[in-house]
Amino acid sequence: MTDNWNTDTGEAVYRSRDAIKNLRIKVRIERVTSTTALSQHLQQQVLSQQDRGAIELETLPSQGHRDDNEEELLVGWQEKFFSQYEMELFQNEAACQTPLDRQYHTEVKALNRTKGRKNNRIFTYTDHDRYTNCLSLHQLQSTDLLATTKASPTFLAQRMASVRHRRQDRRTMLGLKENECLLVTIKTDGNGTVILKPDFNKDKDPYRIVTEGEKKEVWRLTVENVSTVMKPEDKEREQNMYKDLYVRHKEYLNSLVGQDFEMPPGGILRFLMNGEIVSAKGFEYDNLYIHFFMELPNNWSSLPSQSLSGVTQTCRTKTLGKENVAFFSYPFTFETFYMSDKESDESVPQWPVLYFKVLSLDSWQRYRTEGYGYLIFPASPGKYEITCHTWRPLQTGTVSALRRFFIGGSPELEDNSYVRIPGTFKGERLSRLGFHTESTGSVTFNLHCIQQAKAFVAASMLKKRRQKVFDHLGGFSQQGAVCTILEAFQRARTKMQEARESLPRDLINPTSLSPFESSA
Amino acid sequence: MAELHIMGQIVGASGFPQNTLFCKWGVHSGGAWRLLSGLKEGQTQVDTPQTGDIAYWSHPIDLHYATKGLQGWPKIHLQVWHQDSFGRCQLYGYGYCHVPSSPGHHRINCVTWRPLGSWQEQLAQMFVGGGPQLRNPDLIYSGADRYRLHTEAMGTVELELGVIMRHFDKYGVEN
Repeated sequence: MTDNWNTDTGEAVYRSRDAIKNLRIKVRIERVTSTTALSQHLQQQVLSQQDRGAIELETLPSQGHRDDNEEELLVGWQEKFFSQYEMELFQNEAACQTPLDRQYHTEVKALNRTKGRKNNRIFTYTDHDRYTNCLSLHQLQSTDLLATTKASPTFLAQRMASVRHRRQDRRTMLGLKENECLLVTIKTDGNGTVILKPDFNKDKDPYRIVTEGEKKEVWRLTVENVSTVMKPEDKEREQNMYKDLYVRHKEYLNSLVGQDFEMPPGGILRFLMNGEIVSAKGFEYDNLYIHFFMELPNNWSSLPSQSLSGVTQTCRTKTLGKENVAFFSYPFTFETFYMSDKESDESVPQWPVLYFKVLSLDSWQRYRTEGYGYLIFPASPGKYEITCHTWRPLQTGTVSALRRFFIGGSPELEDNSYVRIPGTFKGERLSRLGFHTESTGSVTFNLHCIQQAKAFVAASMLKKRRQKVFDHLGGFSQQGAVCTILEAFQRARTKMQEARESLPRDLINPTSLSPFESSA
Repeated sequence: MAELHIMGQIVGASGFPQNTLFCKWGVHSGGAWRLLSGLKEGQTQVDTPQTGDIAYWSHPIDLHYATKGLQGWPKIHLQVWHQDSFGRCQLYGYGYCHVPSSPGHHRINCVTWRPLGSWQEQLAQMFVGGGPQLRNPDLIYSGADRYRLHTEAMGTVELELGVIMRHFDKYGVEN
């Protein structure tokens, strides 16, 4: 007599791109009584017997009680089936308040006329009913809403259909609502997610429903998905349409911008640095600002529109930890071009330098130098966070210290590049003997460096091949080192020149230098 | 045509005088850049941390750019605002940072500063709130007049960005 019940009545989440109105489920309930249990048991016994001639007629289930002990119903999305309570309620026109009630009234009257009520015990509540105590929606839109009611939990659902079961009791006028019990809840949000509680259990054991009330009855519940499945040809056609859509979208995106990309002329390396001056900390006085400029060595050039210097705003420091820090958050972009010469083939090129000085200006218009520093542009591309320490020139003696404190003058460097190697320096040894400085604070920069050259188009293929060779040899990869960039650069340049010499004169068109094949 | 994907979040902010903060953010790019999909500006919710100093927003950033050149690399600008218990909003800082140009996952701490007025304005700001704001935040990018600005250092905003670059190596870009 022991039946196996499915105790897993949790929610199941399904996702489908199909329209929700195609969903149909079949709900079947069967009452578990002693006779049905017994007849089932006997049936099993009988069927296991080989001799079929000894079946008694009484053991077979009688057809007569079929209607009362079981019911099956096909429910679609938001399909309304009336309960006995609702039938009796909506027959009375005076009870109708909202337009929905009036619509139900006409439907009930039509049903009574045709006597075509399909369901007996199973009925549904849709979203709009005033008996659903779960949601009070203010608008029905395609976007999801958060709606809360007094006691019930919050759903991100747009519509809800619930199927309830009611015990038929002819003694009461209007059926008691307490005799209803919830069978299946279907929820959806607008994006194709369907949440079903409990899950489909067609091939598994049925669920157990116990009704409350005077007579406790046990029912078996089976939920089955009977939505029409898409035919395979339709599925294929849909997939083809999706593919087509994506291809067209890709072409549209391509057409928005175009296929070309701005490249520097052949033989020239473009160096682009996006950076920020982030902060300065550890300086003596307040209200700091930074004045910076770039220095380009030989073979480096920049566009006329590129400004090579800048001044940040004046910032009052705040105390962070043990130090006073000033935040600048000053973005700058710097673009230069490098053209390699035949003469300087052997030497490593000099990279541009950023010189900066930190100054303070207070409300009394006292102006002091706080520090000098420099930053060499990184040779390999990537992201850098660099902190540069600074110093300031010092004049020994109390007079200059007093002057600096009270009035605000302080010695400055006449040539800012003295910080590194003065521009006028021509000798072999640089001597700073006798130059007095004091260490001051530090300045932090964030740099993002990009390099671009026509040679890299071929060099990237070369590098990949070389990497494979190195991996075979177990060696290390030299990505991004200055020499590899130069090597590739020089190689490409010589190849280009050779190609140029080998071609006849009239074929050479200087503006259309096509990228050469990489021949390792 | 090269493409750049920026996917990440504005995690939160810390180091400000008060903790009830929200952030207005935007991404500014040059003329050669075209936004294919994603929202390039927005505003986070107001967050009040119960414990600790960091106000967390976890605001998503998901952008897809296509570009014809390297100039005008996208920059993020941020404005951090404070909302007090009376519902008044007060500017707490401007911050600017570049979107990283190397692919991968980056944690960025963008520092912020706030314009400072005269001492009378500062006194009023202590009692009533408010304070000077930039009339046009885009002026920052031209950088010419910035030296006349008097500011004070405020807190930092933390961002996590993942950068994916496509087809840049076809045009000889190394990063």
